[in-house]
Amino acid sequence: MKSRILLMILCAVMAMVMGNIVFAQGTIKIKLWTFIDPTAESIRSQAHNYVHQKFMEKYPNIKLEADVIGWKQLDPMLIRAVKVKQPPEVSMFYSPSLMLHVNAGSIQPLDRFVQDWTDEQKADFIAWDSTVVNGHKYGFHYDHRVTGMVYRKDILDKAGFAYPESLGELGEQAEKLTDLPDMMGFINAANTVSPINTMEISMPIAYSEGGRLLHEDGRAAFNSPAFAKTVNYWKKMVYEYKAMPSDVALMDNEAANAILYAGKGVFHITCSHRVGYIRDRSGLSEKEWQFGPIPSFQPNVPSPTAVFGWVLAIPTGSKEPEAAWKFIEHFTSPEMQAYLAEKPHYMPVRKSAFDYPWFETPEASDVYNFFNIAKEKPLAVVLPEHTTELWTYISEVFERVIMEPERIDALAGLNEAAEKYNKKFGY
Amino acid sequence: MRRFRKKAYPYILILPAIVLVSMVSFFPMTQAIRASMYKMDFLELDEFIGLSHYKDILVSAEGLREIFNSFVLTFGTLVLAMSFAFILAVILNRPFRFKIVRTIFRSVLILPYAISWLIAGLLWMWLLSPHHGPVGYLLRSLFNWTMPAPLTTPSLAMPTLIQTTAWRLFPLAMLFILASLQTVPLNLLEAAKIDGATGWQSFRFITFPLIKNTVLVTMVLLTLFTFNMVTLIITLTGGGPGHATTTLAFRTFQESFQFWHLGYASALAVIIFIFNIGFSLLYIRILKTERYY
Repeated sequence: MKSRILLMILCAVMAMVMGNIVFAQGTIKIKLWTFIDPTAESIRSQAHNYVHQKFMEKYPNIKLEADVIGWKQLDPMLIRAVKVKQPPEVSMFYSPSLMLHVNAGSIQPLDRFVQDWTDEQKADFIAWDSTVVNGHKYGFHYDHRVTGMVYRKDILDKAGFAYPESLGELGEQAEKLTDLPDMMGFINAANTVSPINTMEISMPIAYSEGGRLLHEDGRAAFNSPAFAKTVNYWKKMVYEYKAMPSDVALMDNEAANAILYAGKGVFHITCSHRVGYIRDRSGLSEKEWQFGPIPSFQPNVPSPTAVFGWVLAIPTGSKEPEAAWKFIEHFTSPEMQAYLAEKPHYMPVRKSAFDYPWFETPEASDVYNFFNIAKEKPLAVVLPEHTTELWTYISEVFERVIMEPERIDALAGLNEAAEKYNKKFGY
Repeated sequence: MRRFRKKAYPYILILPAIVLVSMVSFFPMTQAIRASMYKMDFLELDEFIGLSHYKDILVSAEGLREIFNSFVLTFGTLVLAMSFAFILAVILNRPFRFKIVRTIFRSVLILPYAISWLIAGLLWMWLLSPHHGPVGYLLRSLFNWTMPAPLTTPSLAMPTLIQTTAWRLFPLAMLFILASLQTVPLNLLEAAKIDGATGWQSFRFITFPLIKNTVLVTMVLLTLFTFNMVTLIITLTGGGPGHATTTLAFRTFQESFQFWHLGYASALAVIIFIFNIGFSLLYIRILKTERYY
C-alpha cells in the first residue's frame, strides 16, 4: 500500500515536471537587463512594471524576466556577457555609452526591423538620429531627459527676482539668496566622483561659448577658452559669489543633492527626469520647484539643451531578437510613452504620444516644458567611446581649480588634461 | 604497482582541490600577467607592448602617488586598528564583575565588522557631512563652529579614510587578539606577579611573546584587506579630492571597469599581487624566528 502511494506521488510529480517542460517549450523567455526594479515601490518602478505586464498580456507566449543591475554596472556587464556568449535578449544602456557598445560589438544593428519604415514613422521619434551610427540604427530611447535648471520659484518671487537671463545674473541672484538663513544659492558638484554628472551640467554652457569636446580626428579640443570660462564660472560661484561652499562642489553628486532635498538650495542644474524626484524628496510641489533652460553667458540666449536618455537595444548574440524587438516596439509605442509621461513624468520619445488625452491636462505642463526646452536649442553632439574617461580628465580640472583657486589656472589645467588625454589615446 | 598506487593515493585525493585552485587562481593570474603585456581592445588582446604598462605606472608621478597612497592607507590603518584592538582586547580579557556586561560589550564592539563596507562608507559620509550630518549639526549648535569637510579637503581625506577603515577592521583584530590572550597560562602571570614583575613587564616578557604569532597573522590579514580594498574608497571619496585617496586598488577598478584599459589594469593588478606576496613572505620570515612556547 505504502509503495503504491509513493508510486502515485512520483507519477504526479513527473507529470507536473513534464507539463512544465511542454508548456515552457511553447513559451519564449526573454531576459531584460534593467537598472529599475519593477517590484519596488517607487512610481518609476511601478510604471515599468505596468509596461512589462502589458507586454506579456499582449504577447502571452513571451515571458519577460527583468534582471536588475546597478546602472553603473550595466555597461561592463553587458560587454562581458556578450563576450562569453551569455547576453540577455534585451538590455538598457545610457545614451552616452552608445559608441562604447558599438565599438565593443556588444549591441547589434536593428536595421532589419526598421528597413521598411517610412520617413514619417522615423520622424515621429524626437531624436531618431541620436542612436544612428554610420547609417545603422542601434537602439531606441525609451525616455529622454533634457538638461536645464530647477529653481525655487517661491524664493525668487519673495526676493523679487525674475528667472535669470544670463549666467552673470544667476551668479548675482545666487549670491544674494545665499544670505537667507540656511540657504545656498547654487548647488552643483563638479568633480571626478561623478564625471558624467559634470558632463551633463557643464557641457551645454561650454558649447554655448563655441566650445567642443574633440576635434574631428579624435584629439582633445576641450582645452579652449570656452571650457576655461565654464570652469572659471564654477570657481566664481564658490569664491566670488560665495553661493556654494567649495566642499559642496567637490562632494559626491548625491550627497550635494541631499542639501536640495533638505530645502536648502535655490538653483541647481540637472536633467529633467530629476524634477519630480527633487519635489518628492523635498516635500515641495511644482509651485516651489520649477524647471527652466540653462542660461548662457549672453543675456537672453539660453545654453543649448543636451538630450540624453536610456536606450533599449538588442545585444549581439541575443537568442530571441524577434521577441526582443517586440518588447522594444511595445515600450516605445505611443500608448506606453503616454503612460510613462503621465506616471513618472518621462519626456516621451515620440511626438504622437502627445496626442493622448492626458497631455490636455494641467499635469502635463512639466512634460511640455521639457519638450519645448529641448526643441528650442538642442545640442547635437556625438559622445566618444571613452566618454567617462574623457570627462574624468575634464572633471579633474574643475576639482583642481576649486581646491587651489590661486595656483591653478583653468586653461593651463585644461591644456595639461588635453595632453594627458591625447597621450593616453595615442594622438 | 601496489606501492605506486599507495604513494600516488594522497596526490589523487588532493587533485580536485588543485584543479579548482588552478582554475580560480593560477589560470586568471597567468592570464592577467599575459594581458598586462598587451594593449587590449576591450576584452581582446591587441598589440604586444612588453613592459610598457609597468613603465607607465612605476615611472609616472600618478603611479608613484598611488603606490604611496596605498602604503599610507595600509600602514595608517594597521597602526590605528591594531592599537585600538589591543587596548580593547586587554580590557575585555580582564575579569568582569557581571559576565553579561562583558558579553554586551563584546557584541557591540563587533558590530562595525558586521556592517558591509558599502554601508560603513555611507554611514561615515553622512556622519561627517558638515551640512547635513549630526556631527556638524552638534558642533554648530554647541560651539557655533562649522567643521571643515573632511572628505573633500585634500589634507583630511586620507586620515578620514584611514579612520573609517580602522573602525571597520578593528573588531576582527580584537577578536583574534582576545582569543589569543585567553590562551596565556594564568600560572605564568601569577608566578611573574609573585616575582615582583609589573604589569608592563608581564605583558612584555610573558604575554606578548605568547601571542606574537597571532598578532602577526592579524597584521598580515589587515594589511592584505586594506591594501586591496576598493569599496570604501568608491563610497567615501571616489578616489578624490584631487586623487588624494586614489590607491593602486582603486585605480585598477577604475581602469578596468570604467575606462576599459584592461591591459593597464592587469599591470596594476600584477603590481598589487607582487606587493601582497611581499607582505606574506615578510610574515613567513618573521614567523620562522625563535618560538617562545
